[in-house]
Amino acid sequence: MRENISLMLNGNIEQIPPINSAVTLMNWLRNNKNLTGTKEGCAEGDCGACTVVIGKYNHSLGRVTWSAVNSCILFLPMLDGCSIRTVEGLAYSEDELHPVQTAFIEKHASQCGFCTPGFVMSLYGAWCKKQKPEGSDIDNLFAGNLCRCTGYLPIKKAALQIGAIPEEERDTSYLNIEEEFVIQNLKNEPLSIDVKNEKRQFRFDAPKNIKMVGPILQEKDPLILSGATDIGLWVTKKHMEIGHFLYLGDVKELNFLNENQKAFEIGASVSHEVAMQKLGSHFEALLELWRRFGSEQVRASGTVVGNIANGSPIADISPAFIALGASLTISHLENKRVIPIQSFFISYGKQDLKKGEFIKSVYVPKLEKNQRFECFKISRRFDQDISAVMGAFLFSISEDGFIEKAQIAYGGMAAIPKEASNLSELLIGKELGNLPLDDCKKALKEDFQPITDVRASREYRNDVAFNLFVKACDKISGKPSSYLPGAVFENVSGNSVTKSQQNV
Amino acid sequence: MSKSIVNEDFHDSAKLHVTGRAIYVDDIPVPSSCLHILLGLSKIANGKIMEMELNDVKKMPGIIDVITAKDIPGKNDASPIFGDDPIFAENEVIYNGQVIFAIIAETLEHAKIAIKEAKIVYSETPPIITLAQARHKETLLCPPKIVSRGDFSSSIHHSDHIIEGEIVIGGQEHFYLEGQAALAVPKENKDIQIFVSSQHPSEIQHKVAAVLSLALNNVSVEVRRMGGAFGGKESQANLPACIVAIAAQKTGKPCKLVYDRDDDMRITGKRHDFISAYKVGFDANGVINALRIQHDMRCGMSMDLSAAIAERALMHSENSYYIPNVEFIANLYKTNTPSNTAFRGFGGPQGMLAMERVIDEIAHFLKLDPLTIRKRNFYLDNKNPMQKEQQTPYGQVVKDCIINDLVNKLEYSSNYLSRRKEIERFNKTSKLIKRGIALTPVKFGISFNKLMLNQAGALVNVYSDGSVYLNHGGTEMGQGLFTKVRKIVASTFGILSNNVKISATDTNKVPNTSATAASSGTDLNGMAAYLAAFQIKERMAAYLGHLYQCESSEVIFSRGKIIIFDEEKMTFSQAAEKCWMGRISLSSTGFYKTPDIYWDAEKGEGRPFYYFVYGAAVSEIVIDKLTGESRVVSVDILHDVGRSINPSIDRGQIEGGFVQGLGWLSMEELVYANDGTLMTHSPATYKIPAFSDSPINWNVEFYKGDGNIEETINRSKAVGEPPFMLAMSVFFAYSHALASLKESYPSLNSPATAEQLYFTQF
Repeated sequence: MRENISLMLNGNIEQIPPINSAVTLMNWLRNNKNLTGTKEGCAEGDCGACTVVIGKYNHSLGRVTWSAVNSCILFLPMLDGCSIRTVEGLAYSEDELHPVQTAFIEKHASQCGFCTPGFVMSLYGAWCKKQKPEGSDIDNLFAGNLCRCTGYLPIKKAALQIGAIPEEERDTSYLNIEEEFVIQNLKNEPLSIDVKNEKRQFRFDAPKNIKMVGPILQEKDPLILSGATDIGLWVTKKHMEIGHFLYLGDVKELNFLNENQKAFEIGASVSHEVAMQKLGSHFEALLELWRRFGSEQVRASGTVVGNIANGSPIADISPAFIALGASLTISHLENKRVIPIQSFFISYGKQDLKKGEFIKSVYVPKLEKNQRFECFKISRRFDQDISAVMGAFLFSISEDGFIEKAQIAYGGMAAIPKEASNLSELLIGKELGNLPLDDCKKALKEDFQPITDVRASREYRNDVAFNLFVKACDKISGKPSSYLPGAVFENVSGNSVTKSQQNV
Repeated sequence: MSKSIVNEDFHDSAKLHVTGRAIYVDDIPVPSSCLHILLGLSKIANGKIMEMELNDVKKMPGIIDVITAKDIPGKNDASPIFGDDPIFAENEVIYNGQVIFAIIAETLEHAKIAIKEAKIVYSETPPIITLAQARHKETLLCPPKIVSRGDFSSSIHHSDHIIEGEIVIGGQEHFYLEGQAALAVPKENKDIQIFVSSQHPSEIQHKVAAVLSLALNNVSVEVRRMGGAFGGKESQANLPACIVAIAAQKTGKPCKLVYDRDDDMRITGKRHDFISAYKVGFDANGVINALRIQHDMRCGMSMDLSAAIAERALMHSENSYYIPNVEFIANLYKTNTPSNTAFRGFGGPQGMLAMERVIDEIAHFLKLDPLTIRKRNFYLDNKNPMQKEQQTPYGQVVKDCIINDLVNKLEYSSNYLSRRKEIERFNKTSKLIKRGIALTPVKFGISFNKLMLNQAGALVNVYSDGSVYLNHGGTEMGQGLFTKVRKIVASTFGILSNNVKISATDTNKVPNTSATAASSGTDLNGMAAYLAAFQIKERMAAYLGHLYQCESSEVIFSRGKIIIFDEEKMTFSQAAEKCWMGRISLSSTGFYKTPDIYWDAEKGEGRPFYYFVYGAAVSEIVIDKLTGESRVVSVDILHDVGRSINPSIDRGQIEGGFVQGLGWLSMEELVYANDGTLMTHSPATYKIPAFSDSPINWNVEFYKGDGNIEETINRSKAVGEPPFMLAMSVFFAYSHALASLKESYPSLNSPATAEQLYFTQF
């Protein structure tokens, strides 16, 4: 066991003695390292001013991956074995800036400058991933960075300038040293911090082997931590004192994403980013849902299983997976049990997970030939927003266009992500192109009694939940349908859209 | 490519921004003795504090002290004018989020743990939260403000048609990325130095002196830059500055306070929300004869700047239109919510939105293109000096009007007419997707409404090596003020901008300054700095003329050289050294006050504005009928910046202002619970435009004219606020799209969220 955190910061190796509370990476950078370029804008992963780039080993991909992440909601020990680069570490020298930085200056992409380091680091993340930002990629790249001054256009121009740099002029060779460091550190003993203060105790266990997970869970009552995109806020927003974390991010056996002819199986520490790439090619609708799930930063840190495990009624993955008929494998020491995902959600804040248990993986069956899947989310803002309503629709359709089976689920409509069982049942045997819409509406009303909250009114939720169903049916039956986010609607707006493309 | 970048136009701090080296208040290196402050906020909106037990907080580890109203040596007030903003609640609380106490701790982490030990018992009174409640209880903060001309009541009967209606206009959170922040450093002899993120260092100096019972010369205030402000740091920075000052004086140590996002949103005031009711009379052509608009404003729990905001709303309620008979009224309602405050446009946007709504509804009534109605009511352009003068309802002659020409040019360049026709064809056949387009104008008056504020000072030093030091009363919040003023000074001396050192705004260097607000930063400070530099240059020229036996007017400062009779005599550096050796003063202050403006508050008449800024925008949007979701597809802007000092910065103000306006009118919604809790207190629930909300296609052009007709610096025009209101075009494009879904007029309210758009179709 090892108590010192070992990481690389801007190319220098750091050995950090045991910390005694859940210090965030951002606060450590600002307060301990005096790297104040990393800014706090919200302390909840919504504004991106704290963005840094990290290199971390990904067992499911078998290599070091580079990602822009929100340092305000990552706990420092989670970075053990990683390489971190902050905005201060980009320039080659006082006078020689990184091309990403130069692009921001040349395109007038900073005004007050407070969000700028975060934007610079998001673009640097793309640089490390050898991406060439163009078109709507740029919207995605910066979905997690808010700017209140510029209106974003000059930032887009800066990104395009980077996208236009030819391959041979892109130097990423310096990443090799950092990747070597990350790989070397895989051999380290697992991190286990245990500091007793006068009144309090702080523990942080980061086992590397799945066999170590069960016993810790059995003996103690730690909080299971994966990406911290939600739990981070418990500390930064609710000011909760968490005495003991069990971090799953280093467990090799939980970082897997298997695919066979019938299904995908996603391990507990697989990030949204990785899952999105792999499942997105099979489930087209999921790709768009994932694109709008948080932001690059959130998807890089947050895990699919974590999104399910926290049981939020507005988690986007859960309704989609309920509709797809997913199941969870829950481990307890040597034992395991498999349950359908919907039965995991018991009531608000209560899930089917007993002491000593953890979700090992989620199993998602692939679509059969006669199956069609659609999902839509409604939020106040298209990108980086939590759903007001999210609807997921799976239909098994006979050759002559009749619904053989329907699995429909919603988020934001009840205290848990929930199946629309009345509606699903009603649809059996109905012709897709000729549905009794009034009956469907009634069935859906019986399924859900949503509430009014800050995201939407009850009435809007009711109406729109039904309209999303109509939208899904239209889309599946090939009728003209509407979907505004992304590139799809460019066809809609005719010549006026293309008119001034050259100006960007 | 990456080597040292020098460009006159780049933001002076751009390199610091992109390298993370730009210092904001929370980044200032402090000694390890520096203490950190966390605020205790009221959990109710209205009531009395019956018991307050803070001793348990004090006993917690790392806690130095807990301060309340009792610890204030001077006045318990952080208000800009009226003395009605307590720093700490005393006995009664008047809004949810009001500061009651402050914990002074070794670290913020200590304070966050300790704050849970605070015990406060309240006796609650039902709060007044909504405008409807305020109207019912008649909680007026002051008598109504009125701007009127002619006789509305009798003349409306001569109109062919009369329409009455109402529009609800939501408020807006500033959401500057850097939260309110202040740091106080105690000095010898009770002196205190404040570093603060504020648009108004002099006001901070005044408030801190009053709070600590000190003279103004005991307090120095420094502002290098803000991480955004938008009006939200005009008066709102007073409170954190006062608190750190009290704490620093009490503990004798540096004290720092940075609001986290949630506290910031709960404590600080926002853009006023309005309910604007209108009654308009017009003829068959849509020419308006008489108009009455009553704006009911939610001001929050105190006056703050609401009176001036109401006045500006009234003075912009006719926007670009000449209307013979008007009656504009503003009712300022007190509510148990944060005290609403300055925000880019300062009431102008709400006034103008109501006016544009009137036009839009007239057009719908007459089944005409709203642009036709707009054109028929515009003020006349001032091409012909013999032309009859037109006055605004408050008696100012509009002598710089270009709105007709500007709108005609934009209409042509944006292809407005054919696009509108094409869209209407499209909407006839498209069942679920509806499109809309609108062109709206902006006319915005430049100058502070309060005459006294239209003054500025600057300090310029030329050192003996020819390097120049510049200080002025304006503050940098990202708008590029420092970059512009630096260029003005540099070009006065004929040298490059990077030879002029910009320095933090400092009350010790330039005293008695006005807030950097009302878009006036460059007009005022640029001119003051120019006058300072000009005096030094005149002295240098006189001395050099004496040396070379020529007139001082024959000494030319150009490209870093001194040129006399077409001959380069020396560099500017050499000239500076020569002048120093010749005992010439190379330091000067400059002072400027805006000429020709006056205001008769009794009559509500005068010339409050030095000039007007004009602009217009065409926006095209698309709406999904099934969900109310929308996107801004295309935006064409033609805007008048006069003779631009820095086109890149001006363009940035236009684009950024537009998107901020777009957020206000579309997705940004403040939600208060019945008990006055702000439910949207973080970016998780309060959504400002994200990257993909920026219009897909942008055409931003400057109006090509002869520059400002008034003698502003470089004949430029102010650019901070006016572009914000260009976003009204988006709102009325929504209205256009919705009109294809129903017979009656779609009375859309703001913000036009998906839900709002969805329900307005029925």
